[in-house]
Amino acid sequence: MSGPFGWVGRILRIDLTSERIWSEDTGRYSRDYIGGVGIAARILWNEVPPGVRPFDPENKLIFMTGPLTGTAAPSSSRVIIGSKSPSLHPIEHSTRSSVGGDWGPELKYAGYDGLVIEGRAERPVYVSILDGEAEIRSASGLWGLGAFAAQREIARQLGRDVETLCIGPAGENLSRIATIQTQTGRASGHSGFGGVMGSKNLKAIAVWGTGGVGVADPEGFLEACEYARSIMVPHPMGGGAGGLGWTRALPDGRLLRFFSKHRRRYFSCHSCPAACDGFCSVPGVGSGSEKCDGWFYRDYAYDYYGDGSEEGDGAFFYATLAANDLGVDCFELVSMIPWLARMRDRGLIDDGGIGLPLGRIGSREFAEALLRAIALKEGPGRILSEGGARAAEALGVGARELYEALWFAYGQNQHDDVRSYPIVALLWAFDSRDPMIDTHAIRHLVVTRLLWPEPFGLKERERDAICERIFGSADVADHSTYRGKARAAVICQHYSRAFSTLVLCDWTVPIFSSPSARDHMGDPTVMNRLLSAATGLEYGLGDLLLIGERIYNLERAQLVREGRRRGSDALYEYWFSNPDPSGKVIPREEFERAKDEFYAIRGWDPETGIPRPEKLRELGLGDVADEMEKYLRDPGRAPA
Amino acid sequence: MAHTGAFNPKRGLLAIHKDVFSGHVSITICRHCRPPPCYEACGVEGAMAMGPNGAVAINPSKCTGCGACADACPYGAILRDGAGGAFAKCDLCSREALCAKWCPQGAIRAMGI
Repeated sequence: MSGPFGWVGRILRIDLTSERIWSEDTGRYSRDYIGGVGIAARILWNEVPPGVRPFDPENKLIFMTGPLTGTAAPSSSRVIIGSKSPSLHPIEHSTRSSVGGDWGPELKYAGYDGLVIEGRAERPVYVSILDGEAEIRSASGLWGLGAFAAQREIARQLGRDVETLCIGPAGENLSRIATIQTQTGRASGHSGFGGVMGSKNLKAIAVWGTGGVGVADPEGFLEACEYARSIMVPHPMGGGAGGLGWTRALPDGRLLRFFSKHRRRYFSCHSCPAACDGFCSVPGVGSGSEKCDGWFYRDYAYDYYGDGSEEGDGAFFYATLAANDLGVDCFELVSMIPWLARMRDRGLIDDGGIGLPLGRIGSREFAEALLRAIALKEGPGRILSEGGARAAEALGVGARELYEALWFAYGQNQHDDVRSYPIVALLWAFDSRDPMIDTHAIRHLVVTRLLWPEPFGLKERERDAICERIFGSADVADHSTYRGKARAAVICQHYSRAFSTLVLCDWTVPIFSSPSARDHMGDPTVMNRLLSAATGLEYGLGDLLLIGERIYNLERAQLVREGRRRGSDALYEYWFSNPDPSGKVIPREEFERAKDEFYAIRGWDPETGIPRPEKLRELGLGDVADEMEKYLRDPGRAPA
Repeated sequence: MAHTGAFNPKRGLLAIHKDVFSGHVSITICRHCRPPPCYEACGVEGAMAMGPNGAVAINPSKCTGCGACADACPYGAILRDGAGGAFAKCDLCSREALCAKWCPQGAIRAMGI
């Protein structure tokens, strides 16, 4: 094969308002940003100015793969999605999300590295991309269908085994906590991009292709794949290749028991050795995927019906399938349900007032009432479909106070504990959204792996050696202090942007630690080795991390232009004054000092949190620096 | 990959059909029948050759695309996917069985080759 290698070369563009379809060279962006999250950030900066709101036709929905997508690189299934987010609060910032499965690879086989959708169709439509040919088709018979039925109907209409991204009723009805779904349990969830698709009257995007993704050095590439796989597996959450399949890796006998009764097989995303998706069937409920999706209802269901009960299994799995079919973000519900329960306990709401059977949380009926209300925006769903932050505003002071105890910042609910782990607090403070979505690895390195059994676990000595190698110091693992955390946060951010350009899954990369290697020492250079062999261009790990830094700064410039400043690099007040079980709160002064250190390392102005022009120029973002200077002189002006 | 020089599982000669809604997975693969009905059905001189290990290979430059081999295959394991409309089938990658070598789950083993 004579190339192109890695990338397939074109980005497809569709304007749903004018029905214009065209394409552009990926090469315009790939040298500086590679792919994935990098190209998405650049297109957002170029084309989505401040002032555009998530549901405006001018907002763009950007789907970007990377040069490893669709190859045999392990865990290379994901597609990055970039857009203005309706779930973020109070500013509807530009942000990122991603989804696995097989859609990203299929987009490349259909001939495109990425897809950018803009405008708004007059009537409900879906887009098909079949071997390079894109078409806008009527979705009149699809509107209102759940995500599962919509995917099957589209495959029937097109007469092919297409891969489809679609929205459920929640996205159609412009819920701010609506997902983009594929298959039975894979979602771009927490950025609320399902509502953005709905606002464009776009039900689905179906892709299919016979094109191939070539690599420059097939032999070297397959060797790099084999090496990467050998140090990735077994994956503790995976069912494939000796993993624990979400069972013994979690101290949760309830999930273990559910899986032992109902799991029929593991499913992998494209080319993934981890296979973290358990395909389950429960009589009287249905079939589909279960991973962490059902977390939001598991304990409620078993507390209500009894451990190990069939009714408990049914309610738990029903909630998982219904959320995925209706296209409601499961993760938001992890906080929303306890929040509703606490409001009821405080007398702030009651069954009659809110229109939900709050005394029966854990029952199948409650899950159905809540999910349908949110997806259809009926009754209590008119408020709750706005997400926790906006629902709390609507419900008043007491509701807001209880909200802050379950969400961390920006309208994003708790993921991990910002009081217990300073590195987690800092990652949260500087992001636009829940950052744990692409920084799981640091959490596992400094917290979780110390609790896991062999071969997944780490001894403290091993952990410290890994931290020394990756972060230059073992300080990052000392949770009693903010010392060393600012630098570690910077490094984590660069890693996450680097692998999200390729695109690899954050469950398995950047391989800080390895279950199979001596002393469990991982090897992040697999990322640049795979990239070099795939594209024929030489990348070192440093090159990749520098691109990560460029992307991070470009994202920040976009946030700044949208109103982000140092003052909003913060978490809700609750977490500074209410201790975790061990008595820790976020120490305010230490936290602010760590922020000073962070801005200094970043080359940003510590007063404002704005990247300095010279830093942007140093990173090859001269045009961004020029635009920022103009914006700062006159924030009201329209961008060039 | 070995056959087209690029990645796309859809064009693999070991075809995996995954129904994500029913959970059903089925696999279409050449069983290397002995005697091979595809080989016996082929009427084009030199279009099919049997290797020393019994694996039948299609020569794409000689294959006329008539499809007699695919019709004769009881497993539907011969695809019209070679260069210029030629058919293609698993030839065990010159004895290396690369699918078994690269399967990340160790789900494929090459036996009796």
